[in-house]
Amino acid sequence: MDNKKVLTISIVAVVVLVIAIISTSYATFSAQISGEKENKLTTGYVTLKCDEEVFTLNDTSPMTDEEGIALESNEAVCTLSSEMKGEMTVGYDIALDDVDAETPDDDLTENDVKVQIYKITNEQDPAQTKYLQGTSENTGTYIANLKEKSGTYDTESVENYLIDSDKITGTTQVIYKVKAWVSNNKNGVENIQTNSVTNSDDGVCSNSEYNTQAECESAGEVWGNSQKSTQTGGTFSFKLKIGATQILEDE
Amino acid sequence: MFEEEPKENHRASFTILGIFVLLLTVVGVAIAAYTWTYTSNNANSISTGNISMSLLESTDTISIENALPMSDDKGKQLKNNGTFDFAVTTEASGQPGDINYKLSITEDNADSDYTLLNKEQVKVYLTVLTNNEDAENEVLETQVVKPTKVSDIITENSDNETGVLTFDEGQTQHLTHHHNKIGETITTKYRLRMWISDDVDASNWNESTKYQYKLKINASGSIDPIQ
Amino acid sequence: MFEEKEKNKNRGLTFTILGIFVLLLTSAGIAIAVYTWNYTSDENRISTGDISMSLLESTDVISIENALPMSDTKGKQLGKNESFDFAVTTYASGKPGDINYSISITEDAVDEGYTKLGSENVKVYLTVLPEKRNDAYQQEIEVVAPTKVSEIIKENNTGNFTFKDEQYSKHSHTSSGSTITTKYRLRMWVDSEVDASDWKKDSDSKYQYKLKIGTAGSIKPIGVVE
Repeated sequence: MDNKKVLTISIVAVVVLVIAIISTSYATFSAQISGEKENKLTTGYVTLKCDEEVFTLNDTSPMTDEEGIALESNEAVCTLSSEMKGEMTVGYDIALDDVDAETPDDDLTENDVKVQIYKITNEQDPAQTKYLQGTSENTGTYIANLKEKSGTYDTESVENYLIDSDKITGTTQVIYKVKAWVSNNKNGVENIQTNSVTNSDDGVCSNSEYNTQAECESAGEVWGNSQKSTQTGGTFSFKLKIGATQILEDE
Repeated sequence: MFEEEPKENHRASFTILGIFVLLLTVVGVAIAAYTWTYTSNNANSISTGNISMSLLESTDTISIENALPMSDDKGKQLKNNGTFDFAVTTEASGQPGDINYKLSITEDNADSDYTLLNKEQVKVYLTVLTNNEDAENEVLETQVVKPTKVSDIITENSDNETGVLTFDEGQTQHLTHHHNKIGETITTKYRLRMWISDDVDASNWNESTKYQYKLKINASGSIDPIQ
Repeated sequence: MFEEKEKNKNRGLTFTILGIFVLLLTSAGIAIAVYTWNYTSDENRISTGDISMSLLESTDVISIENALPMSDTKGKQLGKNESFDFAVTTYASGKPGDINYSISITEDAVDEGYTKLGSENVKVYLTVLPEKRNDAYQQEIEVVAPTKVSEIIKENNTGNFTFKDEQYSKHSHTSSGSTITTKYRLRMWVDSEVDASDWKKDSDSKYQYKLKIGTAGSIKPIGVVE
């Protein structure tokens, strides 16, 4: 029995040895080659900026589209420029932001304020000026009409009041202009006519110092009944906002 | 009887010991017999006399400037400066059978003034080049390593910033050269592409932020001992 | 057996849901990581002030009975009882600049039993009254010369006066919270060219002419830029 055991172990050992020898002889080929050529990539960059011009227009009054467009100093400008080292397509949404955020309850709302919106892609060529959101060279649109328009590329931050969605590649520039005015459909000072009572007061002197007809008339003032038409003032404000994001696949 | 047993054990132990000594000697001899030469005339090669393997690297390396994140679809179509061709050639004077090899990439240090990009920000993509038999001068490309982040190749456990490229399923046959004829030379040509992964946020990159990524290709081959 | 199957099903469902969530999270993560840029400008502001306009009409209206054609010279001198005073007052909380307004006349229907005189037979004349009566030398200023009503009223029985000088139909609000009043006096008479030869007592033809004053304001669309 013991001899058998020894024999078995010996045979196993020999087999192991044979296998080991065979493997070892084949394993003699083994190579490690390290390449020498350096492959490298260096990053570029994309910078976008908006050079803005803002306006403050006080004591304005309701006016027609024509007057509003002819008006000066009622224009918000964003000169959107891109500088790209490398290739990237960036999609952006430009919108009005914080619309009437400060005084939402006063008498001047997005239903009273009109805008004309356009973008200039080439200042030398006026034919390339594009009017946006249904406005034209001679007409504006109520800001309320923009409310439901959301962004295409940055749907997260541009949820409404969209002005334009576009793509930008390379180093380039687009100028956005938004002209704003109070529409003449806003109740302003209306026509007043005899007997067409808007807000009537009987027994009034043209000079408020006098309270009786005798005093009033002897001072050369006019005594009678007064009709009044009023335009209630208000403030409306907005900002311009841009949300941009890289577009990975070209449509 | 009972006492004699240890003797028997001793004998068996000696036999086994003897066999192992023999085995070690043979292995030792085999290792000592292994020699290799290294030649580098436009190619690096290692040979064992009758088997050699070489890595031929194109002088047109990848040299992408102003790289920005791009999709896999675009990265796979990179041309010229965005590609690097290399070839693995094995030559055997005899018939050693299958020579298996692996391809790996090694991260290099960035140039001075540059910061190294993270491994997860860079993707590599490897194809095999074959000649189109129907049209002369037309090269066919077959994907062998799908777009993969370097961080998935050079993992935390990798030594010396080197990681082995895992070939796609069904494409591993390229990593074996069947040397069944005497004096056969077998070459497989590859094309490597690399780009910045499209999930990288480049929003804060500007003129003064300079990032770079550099890598080299390596090949290592052996004859599978089981064969 | 049945219970086990159910369990497996549930587990399968759970894994599917989990898988979807993982997938969602992954894609959301990727979407956020790409190049993004956000910008918000400063505020643009547009504001209107409170503006009001009043027309104060004297209770002493023109009421001329037995009118006969008269010359412009005489018409211009018609006394207080034969003239109608009114005042236009504007108020602005801000400084809107010029508020321009117009003054119109509207032909009214005649009383029962009267025939309307043709508007070409009636002349009107408008003056601005001195700011204060005791401005010794300040007289009424003629702002609309004697004009036939037919030359003023063109359509819809209404027409605007054409002022000699627009400064008499304009209030310049250059300081905040200002009130400006201008007083006017209107006179009307039957033009001297009218042939009144068949106007007789108790005749069938009893003529009359009635008109109303109106005013409409507008602000020159220039805002104040600060």
